[in-house]
Amino acid sequence: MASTPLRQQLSIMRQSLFDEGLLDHEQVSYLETLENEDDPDFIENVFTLFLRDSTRYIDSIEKALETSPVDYPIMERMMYRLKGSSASIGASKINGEISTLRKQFRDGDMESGKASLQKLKAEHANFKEKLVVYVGMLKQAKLSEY
Amino acid sequence: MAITGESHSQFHVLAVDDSIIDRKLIERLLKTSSYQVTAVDSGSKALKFLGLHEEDDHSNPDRVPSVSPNDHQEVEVNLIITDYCMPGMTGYDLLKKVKESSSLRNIPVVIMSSENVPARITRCLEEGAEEFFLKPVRLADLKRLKPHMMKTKIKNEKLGDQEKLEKPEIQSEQQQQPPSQPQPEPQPQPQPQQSPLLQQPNNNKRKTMEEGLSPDRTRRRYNGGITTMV
Repeated sequence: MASTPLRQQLSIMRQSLFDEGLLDHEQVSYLETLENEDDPDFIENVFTLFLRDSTRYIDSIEKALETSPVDYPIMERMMYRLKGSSASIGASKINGEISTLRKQFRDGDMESGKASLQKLKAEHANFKEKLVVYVGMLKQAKLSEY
Repeated sequence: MAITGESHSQFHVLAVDDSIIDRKLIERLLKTSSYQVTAVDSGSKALKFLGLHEEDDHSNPDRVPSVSPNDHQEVEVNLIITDYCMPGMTGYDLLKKVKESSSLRNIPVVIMSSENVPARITRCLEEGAEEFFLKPVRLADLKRLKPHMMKTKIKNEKLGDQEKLEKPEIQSEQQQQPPSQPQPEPQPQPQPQQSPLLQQPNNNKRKTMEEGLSPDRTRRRYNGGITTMV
């Protein structure tokens, strides 16, 4: 693909997402190899899905924690799903945070778990912001090449 | 999409996963490998697609499975690849139902899981799963699917020829074969160094990692970076 200014910006942003540890280089590169003429928007689509689903999962975890008694099955399921989907798209920081969170709740350490949840929310908000920009740039770059 | 070598388009894979992202991913992987794909989000939908209705339908105790060996199966499925952890019917439950069904038991089943639980892996393999893939699944993993699908293709073709000569009733017996197949493994599967829990089960069908094929991937899984496995 031609190295237009948009593409260059995209490349820079992509690299910074890797450098900040927000995205796993290997997993993302791998996903990129799967994109082709049959499914030219594959990456944008999975990233967008993640943006949507991850928010839902985190909200569900929070709600489950707030119910009385705590809805552990729901929490476990939501954490499991978030862990899985973050791994699938290479969202390394989120994946790491959720693993910590999961362990803490499993160990019964509610204090640490709740603190970790707040940390996860902050990480997630930061990640979302950047991923939204990245996906937007991806789309823009493609459209400008049509 | 260029189809390299032989076309796999005659192979149809049924993918089952309740996570939409993972469903998209496995679909993309399978299509990249030139397989036809149908992706569903639950075990019960998978069974429906396979033409088998759940036997525990209490509302109709007289109901029998709607598929008999020579009946037209809705669609020919050459392999089922399913996530292990799903609400309702797990991948393991689905595996069991498939293997218990006279019409479906010869369809190879592969289980995927994002969790590396040796007991789980063993359980699935013992129940008749051909492979157990750790998520995220890789294209290289899918290369292991072809031998399983080829076996059923060859068998079906042979049966197709035989049907012209013999009586139909004999076919269902001939389709029976032991669940554990010798694995056409070109290389041994050593254990990952950092996971002492991962003991090799009696058979060598379990995929641990592709030693020699994807060293980067091995490093990624077990040496840090993204913690995809707990």
